[in-house]
Amino acid sequence: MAFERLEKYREIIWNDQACGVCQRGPWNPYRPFGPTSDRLCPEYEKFRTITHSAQGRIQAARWLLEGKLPVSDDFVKVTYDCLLCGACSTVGCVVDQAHVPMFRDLRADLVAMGKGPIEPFRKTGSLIRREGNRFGRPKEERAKWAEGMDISPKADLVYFAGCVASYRAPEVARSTATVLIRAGVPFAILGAEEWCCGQPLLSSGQVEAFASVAEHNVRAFRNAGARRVVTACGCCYHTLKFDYPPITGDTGFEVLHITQILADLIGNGGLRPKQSFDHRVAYQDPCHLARLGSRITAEPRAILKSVPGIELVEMEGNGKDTQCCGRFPVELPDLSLYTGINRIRDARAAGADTLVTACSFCHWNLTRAGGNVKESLKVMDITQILAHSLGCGPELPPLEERRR
Amino acid sequence: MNPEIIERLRAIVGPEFVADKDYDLIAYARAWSYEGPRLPEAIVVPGSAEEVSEIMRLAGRTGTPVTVRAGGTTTTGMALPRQGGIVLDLNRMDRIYGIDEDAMAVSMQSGVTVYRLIKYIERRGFKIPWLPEFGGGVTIGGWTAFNGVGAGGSVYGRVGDFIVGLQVVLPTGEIVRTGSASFKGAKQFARYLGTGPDLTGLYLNSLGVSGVITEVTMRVYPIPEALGWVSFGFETPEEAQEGIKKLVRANIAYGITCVDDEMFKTIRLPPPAPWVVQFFAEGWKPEVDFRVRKAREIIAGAGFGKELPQNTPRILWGGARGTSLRSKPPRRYMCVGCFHPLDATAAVFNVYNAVGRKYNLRRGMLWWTCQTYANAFPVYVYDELADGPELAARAARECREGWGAVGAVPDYPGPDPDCTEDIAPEYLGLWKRIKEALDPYHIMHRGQSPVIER
Repeated sequence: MAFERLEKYREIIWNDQACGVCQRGPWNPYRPFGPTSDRLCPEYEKFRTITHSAQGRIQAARWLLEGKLPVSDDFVKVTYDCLLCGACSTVGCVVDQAHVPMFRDLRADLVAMGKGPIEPFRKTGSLIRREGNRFGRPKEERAKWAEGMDISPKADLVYFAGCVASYRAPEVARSTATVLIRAGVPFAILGAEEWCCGQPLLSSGQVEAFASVAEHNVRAFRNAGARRVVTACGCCYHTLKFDYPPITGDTGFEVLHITQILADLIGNGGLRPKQSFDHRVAYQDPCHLARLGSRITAEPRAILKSVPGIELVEMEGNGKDTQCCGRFPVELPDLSLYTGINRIRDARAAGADTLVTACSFCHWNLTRAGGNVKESLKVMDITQILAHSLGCGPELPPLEERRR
Repeated sequence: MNPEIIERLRAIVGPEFVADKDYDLIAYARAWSYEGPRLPEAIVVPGSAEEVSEIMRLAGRTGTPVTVRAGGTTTTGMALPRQGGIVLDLNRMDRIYGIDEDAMAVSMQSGVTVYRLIKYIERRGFKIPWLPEFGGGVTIGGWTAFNGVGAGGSVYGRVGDFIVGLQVVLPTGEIVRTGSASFKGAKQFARYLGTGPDLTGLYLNSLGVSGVITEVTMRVYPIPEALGWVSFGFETPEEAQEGIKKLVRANIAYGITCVDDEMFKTIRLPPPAPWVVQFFAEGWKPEVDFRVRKAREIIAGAGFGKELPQNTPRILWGGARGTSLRSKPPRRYMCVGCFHPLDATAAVFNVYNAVGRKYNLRRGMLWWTCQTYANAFPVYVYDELADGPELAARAARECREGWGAVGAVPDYPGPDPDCTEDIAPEYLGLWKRIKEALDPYHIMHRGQSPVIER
């Protein structure tokens, strides 16, 4: 069968109401004045045709299943324009929570047919297969960020840094490790045995390659003696927690996000932020922490509120109604930048001078977007602020230098 | 579509805002309705009235049909092309120009969603006339072209009753303002002028056939100090009708709505009574308290009906949409509606139930008053995979026939696009002459209303 995975959604696809809520909302007609954004689907916001929305994709899926829509290269490209942020799944339509898995399965069918993925995802996939990371950097440099930190290779708790923090934003990996050390929490890292979590593979339908990295990482965690795995990246967290078990079976370890551990430590007095951070801070809820499977929204805010000097402001579109950061800066650079810039503007509209997140991809995209708009805005990871407040982080550079 | 036309459309709006691939056409082949797929030949997404004007001139010159689409949520299928051609998607025209707080009027492009408008005016202390009950990405332009209705209609009537004026692009491409802004240098502050008939009305309920609404100026109102409500339960449609008539006659309601036990069951809530009438009052707090108290006294003195607990769920259109659509297993639902005098209420309810029972359809009545008449807007739930859209269309048609027999009129044409078999020929003749004058090239929503088309 050509669309074996998509077939699972036949009943949903046929009964999709084509009501348009997946394009512009409203999020909830009885809560029109809450902190929800005017925008809903980032892809629709950029392209402005129904083709570029869940509704358009679902209608196309029906025609595919009926054998009436040929799979052209253009269609494949459009299929990959979605960021899989899941905003469409919040509106309460007949599709319920099935949007993201359905669109991922459609991509997996296209890959199985030899029609997908699109070239940028294929390239990322081959880099991951070759070097275990999305940047194609040498495996042995993965834990370079930890040089001089004397971190054990075995412990109950294993810190999974992820590709972005390992290679592109080592300051985030260092600040994460630093606060754990300051809290006296023993932990290990996998070093070169840590491979990409596989999210770019899963998102692009490269499911066999995804299974391969999932199985490798689970083996590596087990070899390190992990009973708990912690990560500071929302995407990695979601992948390890929700996407690995269907592939690997019970992993035997619990998956945590760093904000869960740190909020606990702050709550029970194990960490006491002291140094002031005198800024108006907006928190970007990562889709993968706040909407897609988890609701980790209180913990990051508890951490930020514990830091002296912070004035926490809320952007329109937060919690499960968050707006995506852009997610795929390499594979979908234009859409990613457009989406990130919208989020920078949301932060400025809320009066923030600092935008904080708890996901390496949000950090990456928003930093990139911030460098493309006039408004100056610091983009930071939450662990950087906490490390600063605990007096164990590097001196924060002035605002201008942080813009890239 | 002729590639030359596509190229010229691209030159007008920019290449990124013209879509004509097969998957684009499929994306626009359905709207929120039980109409089966109807494919356009191209989608054009203009950003301004000037662009719309150029598109209309091109369509007129080339005889290309044009179907206007905004949110696609009329539930009527009117956003679907019946003879191919261009679908004009107005969603990019989403600028709010501003609010005139003295005139209590807000002006905006027609693609602004109702949701966004509400947020905008709420921050300035104003509200739209109704409670925010709407589904999907409803736009102001769609609302106007449909002449929508909702809870709050007891006082404010339908959308057309609070439109101040419009900017429209005629099928021939001219850009025209109705209302006071039709005078050079005048602001848009008054709908009715002393200089001729109300041309705004040509576009209310027009469903696209008269031209393209590109800008709307709408009356807004200060957010009232209080909103109060009370729910009453009735055992029969006849009792509900008499209770409603008494409440309307008292002239105390901001809105009166009615739902039935079938609706409660459809959205998986325990029905508090076979028929639930919800009475709303808005205004200053003592005024609201008085009106609610008066409503209680009226029903208590009627000899039938009972007041329901204050925590009885208030089920309005938007809420019903949100909950019923989450049904598992997934199901579509279709709407069919009519306007009727109050004394036909029970008969309208009975027809809807008889059709629902005949086809064994899960269902729910939604109903509200529009000043001194009413709009019934029930939903039927169906499985498009098993039944296709034909079952829903058949049920809708039978409902409409039954309602016609008890003196109701359709609130939209539904599955039979002309819907004219019961309209007096003199009226149709007048409308046909007007249509001919407005749309000499016969491009607007071609096939939607065959009787008035050339």
